[in-house]
Amino acid sequence: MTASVHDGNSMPASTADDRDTFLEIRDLETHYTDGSLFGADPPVRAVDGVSLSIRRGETLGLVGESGCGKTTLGRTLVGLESATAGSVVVDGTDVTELSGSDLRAWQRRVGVVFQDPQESLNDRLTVGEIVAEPLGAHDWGTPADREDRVFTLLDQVGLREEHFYRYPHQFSGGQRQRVAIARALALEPEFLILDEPVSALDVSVQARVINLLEELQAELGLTYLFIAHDLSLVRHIADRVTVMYLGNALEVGRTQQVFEDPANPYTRSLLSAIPGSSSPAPDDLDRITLRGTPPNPRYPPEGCPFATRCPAKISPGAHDDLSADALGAIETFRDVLRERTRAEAGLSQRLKRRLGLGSTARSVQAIVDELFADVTLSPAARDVIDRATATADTAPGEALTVLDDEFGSVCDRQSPAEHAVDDTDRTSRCLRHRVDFEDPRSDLS
Amino acid sequence: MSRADAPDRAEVAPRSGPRDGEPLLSVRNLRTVFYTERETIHAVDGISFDIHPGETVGLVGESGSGKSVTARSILGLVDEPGVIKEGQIRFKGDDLVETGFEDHRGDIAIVFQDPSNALNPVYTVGNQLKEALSIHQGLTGEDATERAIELLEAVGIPDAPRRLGEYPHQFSGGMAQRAVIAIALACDPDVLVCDEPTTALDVTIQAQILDLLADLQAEEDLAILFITHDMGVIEETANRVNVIYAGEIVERAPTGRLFADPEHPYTEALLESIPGRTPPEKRLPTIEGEVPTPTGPADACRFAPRCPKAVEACRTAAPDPVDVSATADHTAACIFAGDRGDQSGGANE
Repeated sequence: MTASVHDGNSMPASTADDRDTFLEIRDLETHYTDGSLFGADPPVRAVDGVSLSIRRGETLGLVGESGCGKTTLGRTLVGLESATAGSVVVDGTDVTELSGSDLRAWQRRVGVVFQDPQESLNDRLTVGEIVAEPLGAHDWGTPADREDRVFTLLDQVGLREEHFYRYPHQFSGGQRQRVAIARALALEPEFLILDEPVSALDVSVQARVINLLEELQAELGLTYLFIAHDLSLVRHIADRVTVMYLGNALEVGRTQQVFEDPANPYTRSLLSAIPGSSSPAPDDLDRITLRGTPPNPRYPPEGCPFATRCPAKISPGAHDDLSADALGAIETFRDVLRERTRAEAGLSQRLKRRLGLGSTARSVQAIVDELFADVTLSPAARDVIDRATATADTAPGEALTVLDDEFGSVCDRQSPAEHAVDDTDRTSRCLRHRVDFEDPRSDLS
Repeated sequence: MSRADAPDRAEVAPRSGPRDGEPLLSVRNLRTVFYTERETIHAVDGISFDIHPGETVGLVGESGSGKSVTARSILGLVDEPGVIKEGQIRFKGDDLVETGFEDHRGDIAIVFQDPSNALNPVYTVGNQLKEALSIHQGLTGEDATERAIELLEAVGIPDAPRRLGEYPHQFSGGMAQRAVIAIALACDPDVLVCDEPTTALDVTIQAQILDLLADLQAEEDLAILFITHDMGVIEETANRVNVIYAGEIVERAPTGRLFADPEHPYTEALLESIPGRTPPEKRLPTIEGEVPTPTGPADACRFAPRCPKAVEACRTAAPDPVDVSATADHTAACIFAGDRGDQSGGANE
């Protein structure tokens, strides 16, 4: 756990919002290394250099697809995961460095509500016991005080006295989540981490829990980190929003600005994908269907984390005549080779090869024929594809290098820095924000 | 209750697929009950709808509304202690409830919510695909492998030949759902029942899967029964929508109409509680209470306890679906539906 020193220049000065900072995250990294016997696998870069701040009394929405690191980020803030680099500063102290009683003192200030009330509540304890648990664990007051406190909490979250003696399985999903919220509030925290608190609930129940959370925030002056994949909910509840992808915060800004005029190609794609007429996406934003899936966080792209799927990827210099379809097919071909290269490196694959059990895979030529069947390629590009195909069966790594050299874009090589999008303290990370390229918004809508 | 056959189909719904002629699948007054030790649960309680080739019919409702039991009933997958007690499931001239489901196994295929549960973790995806091909199309050996590769490619899985040899855990959620769809297609079905097929997926992957289903439907003229709790998804996929509540269809309408002009208070409430419809500074509209579990025959409107408009008459008799449009196939099971009040003695006391 190394705390690095920062000069603070990378963050734009806070001008638009006068609320003071509660928590400052700088270059936070949480990498998981699994203790594999051969130690061959690189670590999972769940959180890979996130900087953002959370202001006192606000709700910061943290959105992104599953596996983007949003849950890990939340857990790291409260010490449930260990940061491998960077810092989380609260009142001048880096809380990622805390241990023992200092860590417990910090954890008392934070309440956590998890997604699935089915799993987060112990079915063998009564609701009263569940809500009292953190009080006991932190030696809060006398047993009588604790009981009083639990009744107060149940009342605060809209449950009744008689619920004290019941068991979680006797409750509906919405009520169980109220129990989880009561437990999170037990030690009078100032900060709640809400990790997908309503995604397991039906829409009508969802609305009631969201209203409760908003009431509690107003009443108790709480600061929220609201983690969710549902952008409509975040649009409703969050003051500011952070859009994460593959361990990185790609866009951070006030909710209204981000939703009305998303700056980052990923934010734009994400918003455009929400179905239905109630979508919070801007009306003039056309559907962008992304190809493929997010990369494996063990092997993130070297350049921009979103480069492998980005619809606004800057075209490769030598082949800027290629159509979007052609570039898409080439990206898919590179994906295939990347995966094959990784499979080759795997132990079992090497063993099979040595034992002569060679892979059953059909030749790459057939895949290329399929991929490029409906795609027009320039003669130069066709030549590169043919060269790569020729070596792909025996040496996918070499074929990949051929493609990377020819079709690699600046997005594959350079990691975009934070760019101040407007004067509302909004930042986005995309190379297209640089003056020598076209703005990501112009290319996409 | 079953009035979907009513000859009022002169109207052409704006997004409707081909709806002329005989429906491919016709469900009439379906009742599926579960006999538990304590009570009898009327999970599906008199549901009727039609699906025509090439169209997508939506079934939307909250958890516990009976939508998944409807799906399982159509496929003959209702397990003990559940049983189809009444009704017809007519498919290609046969009533499956009467003749059994065996003859048409494979003609109706299903895609479930969670692909990781739908795939067997100890067999490769190729094995599972080839098994389906062998059972439903009698393909084996090289032929089966070739067809399996074609199917994986058809559902947009790159490097299909290599993927055949991989296990489900090596597939991401979106890729696994594609594989499940490929297995469903291996039966060469006429009807595809999609039970929350994108609920476990991220929104960008959901968009891919919805595109894929639309493409497959266009190519194969598939009839799709699309089941979901997500109003946004149903709005984009379905030609017609059935809203299900506590085992009953409370409203049926062409999709555009349902969203623009809902007639049943439950549909209205459901639409209002979508967060995207409420300005951020306002509280979200809510529906009090929970979806009830129907443990007896309907002797009242099941939504009445939660309904802001309920009157005494709602609690004394179950409302029948009434036509609310002269031109469109739009019904609502509410005493206030249609002429708002003077139907079947509503709002009298």
